[in-house]
Amino acid sequence: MVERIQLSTGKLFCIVFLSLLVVNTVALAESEAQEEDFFNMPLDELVEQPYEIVSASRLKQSADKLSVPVTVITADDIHYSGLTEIPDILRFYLGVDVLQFDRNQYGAGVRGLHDTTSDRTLVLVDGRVCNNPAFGGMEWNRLPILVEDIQRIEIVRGPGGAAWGANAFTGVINIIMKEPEDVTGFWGSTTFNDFGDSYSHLRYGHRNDKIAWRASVGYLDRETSDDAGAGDYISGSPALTAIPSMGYSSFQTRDFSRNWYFDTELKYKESESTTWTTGASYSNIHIGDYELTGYFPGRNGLTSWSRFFTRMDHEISDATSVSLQWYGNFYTTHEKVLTDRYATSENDIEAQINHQISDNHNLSFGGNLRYFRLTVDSPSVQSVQLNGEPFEEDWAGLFLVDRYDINERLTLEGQLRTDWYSGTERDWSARGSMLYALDEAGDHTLRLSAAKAYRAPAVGFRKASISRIPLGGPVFAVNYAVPLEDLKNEETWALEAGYHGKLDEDLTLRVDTYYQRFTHLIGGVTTAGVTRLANIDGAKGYGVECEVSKHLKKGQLSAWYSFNGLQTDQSDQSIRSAYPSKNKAGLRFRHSLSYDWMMNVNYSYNDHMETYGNPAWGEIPTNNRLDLTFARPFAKGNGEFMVGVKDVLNKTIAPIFGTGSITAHDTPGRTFFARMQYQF
Amino acid sequence: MIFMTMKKQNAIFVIFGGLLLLSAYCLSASAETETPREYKIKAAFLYNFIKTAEWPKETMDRDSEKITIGIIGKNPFGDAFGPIENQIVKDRILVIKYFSGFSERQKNKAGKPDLSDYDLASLRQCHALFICSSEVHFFRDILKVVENGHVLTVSEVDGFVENGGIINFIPGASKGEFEVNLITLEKAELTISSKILRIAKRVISAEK
Repeated sequence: MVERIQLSTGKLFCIVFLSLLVVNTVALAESEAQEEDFFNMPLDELVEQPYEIVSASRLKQSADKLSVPVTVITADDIHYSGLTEIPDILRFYLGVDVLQFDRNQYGAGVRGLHDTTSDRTLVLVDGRVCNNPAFGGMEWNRLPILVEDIQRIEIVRGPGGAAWGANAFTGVINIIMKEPEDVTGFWGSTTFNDFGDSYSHLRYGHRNDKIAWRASVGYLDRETSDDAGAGDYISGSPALTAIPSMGYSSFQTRDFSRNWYFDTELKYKESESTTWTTGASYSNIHIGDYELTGYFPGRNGLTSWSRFFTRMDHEISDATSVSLQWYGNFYTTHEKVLTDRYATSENDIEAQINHQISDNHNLSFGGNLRYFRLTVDSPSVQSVQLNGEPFEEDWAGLFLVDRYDINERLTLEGQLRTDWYSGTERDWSARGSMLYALDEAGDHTLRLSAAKAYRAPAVGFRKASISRIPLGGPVFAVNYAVPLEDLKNEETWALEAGYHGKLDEDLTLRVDTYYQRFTHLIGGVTTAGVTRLANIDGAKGYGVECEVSKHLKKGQLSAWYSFNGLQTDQSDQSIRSAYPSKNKAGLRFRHSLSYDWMMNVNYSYNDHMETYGNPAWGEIPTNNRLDLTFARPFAKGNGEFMVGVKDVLNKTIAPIFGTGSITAHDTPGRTFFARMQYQF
Repeated sequence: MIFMTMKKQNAIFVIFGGLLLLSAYCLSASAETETPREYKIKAAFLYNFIKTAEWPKETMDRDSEKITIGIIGKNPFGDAFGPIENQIVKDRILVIKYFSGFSERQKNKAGKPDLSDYDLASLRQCHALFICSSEVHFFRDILKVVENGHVLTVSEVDGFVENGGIINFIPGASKGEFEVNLITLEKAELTISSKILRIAKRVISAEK
């Protein structure tokens, strides 16, 4: 079995290799590359059309007619932010809570409940899952994509399980990549900051009448927090860190990273009705070690992550289309650090059929099968033990989305999904929404929704145990054991009401409120010095989110505010993640200045956050984050120069404890950077 | 072994990257420097503007064989007009004429560009004239030159439509967003399709 994984990984590389060769040969054989024919394009298409949202219900829908609120981050938003990490960008947008634990580790969650190992927010790339299937979290720095290849990010605010399945619990973050045909030619960009960090990205895209492809390679080089003027350690548990064998006195911040990224996508238009898309991406991540549950290995981490997909979209008739997709995630840790060396492989086959029953009635249905395998290499005492490995797990899901425009004003949408998971058996998700246009033009829309979703605990939650900080013989200071009872799925029920209004041609307002009930939330319970995960209790959440956006003559302005009143049923209840900020607000402003300079301002305010129900680790203080960039094109718009300041207000960011961390250290705040890009 | 050694991983990555760079080089070897997509789109808009605009009869009678788009200043379009140059538009051959900018002329004693040997008549005979952003400080002078020539003036500089221009691509806005001044359009005795007006980001009219 072990050999089979190695062989299949090798085969996959071979397939991608051969595909690239074939594509290049075909591309070279094309005598004349076909340009985009703007001259024969209808005027309506020539004008940049508003994007359509795909994450609300797996169908393209306009932003004002969604069954669940969605925040959209555009490619321009990403570009002019000057930022190179996705969670760092997310913090400026409505509905997302973000924590940075060190220079490599982030926790990001829709409406909170975020941590490095929390998968209560489902993260997708073009609809394909990318949360770590073994331990549940989203490892943002390892995701093999480059930010300038992102076309937009859609943030579904609210349970999205009925469309996307397990773990779309509080929301979904769907990263939509740029189409290969939109990024033809050479493009390169490099960013440097005052700490000597760099982020470089080189892309080539090509298009002819049948085939379009893009390939990107990127390198990120980041210095450790110590070298960047921060890095001071604090302990959240002096009693434990006083134990000599923990080696606290010799701890040193080493959160550097040397990361390679590669990402490619190829689209082949077989006919007017059939399109094939395939892609491969790979990351090779070399980072400094970090402490977890009292263990500080003093050894760097090295991981690789390969992602592949092939998708076929076919229009059977004007009213019916079908898509078939396979994707695979292959993840390997090459060094024993906090866990033993482990490898996961995940293969998913998915089908979706969209059928327009009539002009006002659309139906979409489909399902998926997923196979997951995890193997561990030579377990050792101090590592996280995955008891009973190798694991082989299966998923199967069926979904149905039915949208019916009853009349010009009233629309009903129902989503229903059932999943079977070999780890926690069967569960279901649903969403029902009613949209009502208050005026004939449809500029003002009310929405009422009810939704149910669930989170299935990954194998790492159900089977892991840890024994750390040796006190002599078989006795350890930190003891995590496997749960005494099988963990159940966490569940959430939500009631939502919202308003979306186009107040004038350039001014939009969106207000959404919700009440959410959580049950069976998983947390740690410590008895006689041993901590075990269990479905402890529930929580209730209620809140309001509003955003007003104004399209200015030479730019745009958005302001938002959110209140999130999450309360666990028990005081100091462990939920293995941070609570959300109660009050958050943000402002984004982009404006074209004289001499072609573009100014971009991003600001976010976060109330203090409570962490993990453990008073020893304290609260995460109130945070104000302000970023500022100025960009100017040169060489007839082919080049661009950007200068900026990230986190203008804070010189360093106070230490933040991750789940299971006994120590934390501060990280650099204010950072000056410059970027140069050029396209050929 | 389940885990590929780093050496093998690196080798795969290097070969992968090498293959890509090689193929990219092969594909680009014969490629010429391309016009930015933004200007290909703007060229297509200009094409649509002249396709849908109407000129007074005497202007069209002036030359029954040609319809002319003039580009004045530092040309950002490259060869974007290549596919439509010499094509038939409104039963005439479409001609693209490039004019040096006023910004490139030497200054006279009054500090104004010296236009003594400039072919101003040809400027006036254009059906549409795109004033490039290099002429940001001289677009008013150019507009004055073509004032009574029934020329559809287009640009991409701040304050263009407020200062006598007809159509302006909004600087810094998303590609293809433009504004139209109906007052100057009427003053030039031109008409333009309602479809163009419908997709314009801003229309200045007498009622406002």
